[in-house]
Amino acid sequence: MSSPQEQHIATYREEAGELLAELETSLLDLEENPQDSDLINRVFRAMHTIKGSGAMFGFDDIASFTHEVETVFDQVRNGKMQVTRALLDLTLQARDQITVMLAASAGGPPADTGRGQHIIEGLRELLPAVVHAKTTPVSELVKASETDSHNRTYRVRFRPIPEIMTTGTNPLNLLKELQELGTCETIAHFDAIPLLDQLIAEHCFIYWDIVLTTSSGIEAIKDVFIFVEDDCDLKIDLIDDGSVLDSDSSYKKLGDILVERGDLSPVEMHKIVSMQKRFGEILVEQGIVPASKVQSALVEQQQIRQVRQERTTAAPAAEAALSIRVPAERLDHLVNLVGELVTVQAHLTQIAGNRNDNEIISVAEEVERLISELRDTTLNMRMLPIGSTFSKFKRLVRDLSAELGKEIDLETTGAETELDKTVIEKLNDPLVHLIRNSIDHGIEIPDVRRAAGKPVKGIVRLAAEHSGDSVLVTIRDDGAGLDKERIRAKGIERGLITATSELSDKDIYNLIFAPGFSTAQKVTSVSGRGVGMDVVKKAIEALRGTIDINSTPGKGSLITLRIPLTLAIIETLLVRIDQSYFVMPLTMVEECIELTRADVQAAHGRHLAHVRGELTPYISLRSEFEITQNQPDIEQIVILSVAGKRIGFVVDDVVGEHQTVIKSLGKLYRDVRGISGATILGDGTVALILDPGLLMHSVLQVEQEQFG
Amino acid sequence: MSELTIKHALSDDGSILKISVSGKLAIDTAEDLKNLLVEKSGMSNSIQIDLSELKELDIIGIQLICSACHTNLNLKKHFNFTGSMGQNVKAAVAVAGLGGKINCKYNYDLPCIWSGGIN
Repeated sequence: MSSPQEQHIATYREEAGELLAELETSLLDLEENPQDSDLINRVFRAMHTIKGSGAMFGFDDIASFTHEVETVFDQVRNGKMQVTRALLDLTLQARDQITVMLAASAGGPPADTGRGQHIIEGLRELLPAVVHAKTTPVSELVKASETDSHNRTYRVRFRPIPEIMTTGTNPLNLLKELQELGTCETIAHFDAIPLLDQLIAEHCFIYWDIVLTTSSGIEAIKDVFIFVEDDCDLKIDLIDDGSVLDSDSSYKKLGDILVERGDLSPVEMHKIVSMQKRFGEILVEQGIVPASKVQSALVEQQQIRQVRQERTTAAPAAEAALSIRVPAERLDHLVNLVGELVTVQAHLTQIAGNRNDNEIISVAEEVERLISELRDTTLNMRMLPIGSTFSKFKRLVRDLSAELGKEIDLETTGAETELDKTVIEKLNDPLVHLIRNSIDHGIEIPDVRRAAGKPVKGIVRLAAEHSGDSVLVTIRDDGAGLDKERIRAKGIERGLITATSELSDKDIYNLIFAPGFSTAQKVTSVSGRGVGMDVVKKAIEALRGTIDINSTPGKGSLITLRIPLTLAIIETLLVRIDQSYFVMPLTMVEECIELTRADVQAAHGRHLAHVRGELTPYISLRSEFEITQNQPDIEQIVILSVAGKRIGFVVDDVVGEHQTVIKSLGKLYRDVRGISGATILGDGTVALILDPGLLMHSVLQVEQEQFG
Repeated sequence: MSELTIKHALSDDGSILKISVSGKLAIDTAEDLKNLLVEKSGMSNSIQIDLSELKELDIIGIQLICSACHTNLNLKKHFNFTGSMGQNVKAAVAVAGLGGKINCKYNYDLPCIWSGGIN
């Protein structure tokens, strides 16, 4: 078990990582909306937190580096600097530098300090001259900024000179501005207003007590009165600094407040205290303090009590928080345990069925229901929105399009779509490949686009949406589309197809998944080496997903990935061949039909079955797995939809639906095509998980090799 | 509306001086109302002021009404308000810190009959 300090450091690393991701997204959004003050504040806040927490947990290098960037954004925030491309470039570089520094602190390669210095110098050059000269030690800034986030309560007495309104100042506007800073109680005092005959109509005789609870700080309050400093008596007192978490939410007594304000003398106070009556009542009764002033003090007392009360109750709630951070490996362990539980439950159900004991059957059913719920809940815990991956690509598109001299926007939808954490992690690299391809091969350079009558700016659209137990991720670009003829020619050249092969568009497109396939006329740093699409396909298939390509010449390409929601537990159809059991993904299953020996003979040995008037090819799993014993007279064809095609798999018997806890195969079986894993059945038997897509592919390959 | 319009009349039985104020009661117009109040308050022991048609009110207007109220209560006259104030006027009164929570020393330390009273 690590020490609390180590845990805090680990938490800081995690949170800083999230903040850096947020920072990147905000910076990229800011590039599109440079005036957006919310985004500027978000950037500032992210850096401020990275810096503040960094200093707190001993990441001094990160704190001081981030401080430099923060200083620049403070100027932007205050309207003294504009958001420019140069500023964003440097800030993005700074963000990358912090990422490296963070990784270095966790044992990664050390950060290049020269690069860091270069970034800082670049940022300093952007600063206006005055700020450039004025530097504040980071420790002081951290200290000041930490307290800034607290709500503090101030007492403001604002007494304008009578002529204030003749100078064009409207006190109501000042009060309104003050009220916008936080929770504000304003008490007007009227006791100085003369009777009508002495009243100079244009003079202001009202003055105010304001109790303001705000996180903006005293400077913000002073700023409100900055233009009337010489035209008023202004007294600002800090009456609650917001830092003490006192279980006692009480505040000063009324008499103390009035004495502190100068509305009552200590002598008078003691005299009143000695009377057995309510303090305020006596003051008003005896005309010592006007009612409005007593009331104003009571308002202050009440507001501070309320603020303290809220703080006292909010603190434990904040600690308990609405969410907790759990290390991923603990969740993985939990999922594994649930997986084991599902297996044991299947065993229990089987035993209960065999014993034919109603009591045990009833308990087994209850256990099954509970475990099913537990399984769903556990798997849901690992679900993350895919948006975290999407946001990285925005940067990729920005940098890559600049490098290639293209203008490209990335549009994303469905960022909130959730997928298993592991799946998201494994999806990252394939998506990078696909987006790079779209940018490099898909989207044309501005001149070409202009000549084709297209908008100069190309668009890559990345979208995710749920579809059954899968998520569809699409990458669509409005580029030139795939060049069918060139792919075909390359396919013939590489011996993948013959010159006479009649291929559908889709078959031609699928050629790009061949290892080493590339039609690029030049090799760039981005792509063109023919390393990519086969790797992408393998990675997607490793996720038990599929990849599909569509393209329209001149209009663009669409790549669709279908990815299962989770890699841990799936719904399958359990089938049997002699003594061997297999499972196949239930979502792919369309129907089951019988296959008799007569049917086989009628087809003259060809593996084709008549299904609703259509010829459907099938694969005999018996033959595939070389199981020769006990072949029944009537077999079953399980018809699956694989990459949009119907194909049958012949088995002896369909056992039924099965919740499959996926177990990976050992290294020895890593290259077995068509089997993606294994699962343990209730009685301890191992069933292999079939990968129908790969199975179909390998059968086709063998046939091609045999028959040419 | 940027002008102040003031109408005044005695009630049918002559017991109440009714003053209705519409438009803008602010630093550039308040003098007119002040003069009217000074001149005509002597017509009756009961004054009723109607601010329902008032569209704009600033600190000067607020304190003029307060002063009139104070002056007449001092003279043991009945000073009261009628009609419901418009949103702008209510907002100005709230920002100014009247908002119904002010007790008035000229009104026996009861809530202000204007901001904390019937309106």
